[in-house]
Amino acid sequence: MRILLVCTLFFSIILNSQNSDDEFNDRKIDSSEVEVFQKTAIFTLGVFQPIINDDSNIGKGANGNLSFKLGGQLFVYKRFFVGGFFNSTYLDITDISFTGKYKRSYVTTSYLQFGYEFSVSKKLSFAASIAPIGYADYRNYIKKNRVNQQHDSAKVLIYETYLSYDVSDRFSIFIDYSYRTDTTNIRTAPEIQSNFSKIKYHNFGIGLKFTINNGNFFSNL
Amino acid sequence: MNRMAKFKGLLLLFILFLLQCEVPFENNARLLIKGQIVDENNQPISNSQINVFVRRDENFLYNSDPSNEDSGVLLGGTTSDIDGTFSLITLLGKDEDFVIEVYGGEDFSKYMYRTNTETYIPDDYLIDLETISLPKKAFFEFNIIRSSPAGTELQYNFNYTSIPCLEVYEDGVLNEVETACYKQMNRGRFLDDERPDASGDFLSFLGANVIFTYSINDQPEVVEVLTIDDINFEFNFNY
Repeated sequence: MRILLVCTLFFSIILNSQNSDDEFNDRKIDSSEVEVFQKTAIFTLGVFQPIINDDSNIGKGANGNLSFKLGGQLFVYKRFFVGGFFNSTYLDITDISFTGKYKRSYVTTSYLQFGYEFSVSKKLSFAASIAPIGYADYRNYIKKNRVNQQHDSAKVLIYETYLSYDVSDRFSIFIDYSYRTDTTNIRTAPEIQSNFSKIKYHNFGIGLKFTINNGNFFSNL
Repeated sequence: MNRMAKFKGLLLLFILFLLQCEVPFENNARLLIKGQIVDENNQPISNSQINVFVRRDENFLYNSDPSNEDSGVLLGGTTSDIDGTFSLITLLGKDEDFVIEVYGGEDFSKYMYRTNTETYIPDDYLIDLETISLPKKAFFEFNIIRSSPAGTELQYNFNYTSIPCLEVYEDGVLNEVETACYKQMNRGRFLDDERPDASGDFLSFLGANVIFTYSINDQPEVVEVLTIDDINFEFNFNY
């Protein structure tokens, strides 16, 4: 529900911004505007490999598989952006003595990020962001092909950077790295509580970005 | 239309059946189960098997195959370390038959812990079984033979400690009515001309005392205390 809410809110804002896109196309671009940051929004689709720190029981007992994410960024002031993302992380349970007995976890995460994008060169951009508001749902599948599952939930904090290369006016490819900390709601015995309280990830990703170039969102309102 | 209605009904029944089969689990919860396994001399038993089930019957205590998983849903299992200690992390299955089974091997007695997790979540998500004693099993075999003249009658009884241990907890408190742990059992009968001899066996544990009480021809009872000092203890008695 929270995932849906964040995504809906974010994409409705971005789609609204496209209404002024036609006006942009009709505009004359003079040389002075070349230096002006033109991005309004970026849509992202990517895959990533999660590597879990082994300082938690989930980290010791699970392995990450290739996962995916999608979302968008809205440039609100100059190069500052707000992003809304949804990702799905796949974990195989390799040692149930650390986690409890289940086979795999699908972790769906939605988060809101704030960041800044730098231009490294004409086609190369670098961005750094923090996502202080996020929510993750761990669906733990106990048996294959059955509906039997158990859920864990967590609050998410993500620090992320990416490097993107423009392959055309609207499309770019990117690599990214993020460090993610999930503060879980798992309750257990005091002597092992700290082993379940936080789950930390290093995520290495690659993907495609689609850019809407129309200047800052608020300057177009 | 009628066929469609039947199909929908069957589908609904099937879904209900599936849901009924599923064990509900407590979200955002892990249970820690720990303890130490020792024998009758307080010596640690390593490699004891500890399994946690829901929807489990009590056959484990009486079944010769302890690994039998025909009944119940296994939540996790582990073995005890060299010092007899163990700890096990499981999901918290919600069921009225939440069971922890401890099996020390063929030579030892068995232990079962049972509670209802539908209505009770263990304090601090911890079940500490502390020290579980699995005394070494011993077969007590007896032969009673009449060597006296016909007409001599014997009333005898063996009072012994039985080996399976089932502890039942309700809301974290031992239910002494339902608990059946190393219960005192009696086995005896009356022997006369029709049946002058008797033989049989029962399971107890090494080091346990068996109280043998008998009376010949309604004379005052005689009590003998027999200590089982061998895993195949044989007791012969003539009267």
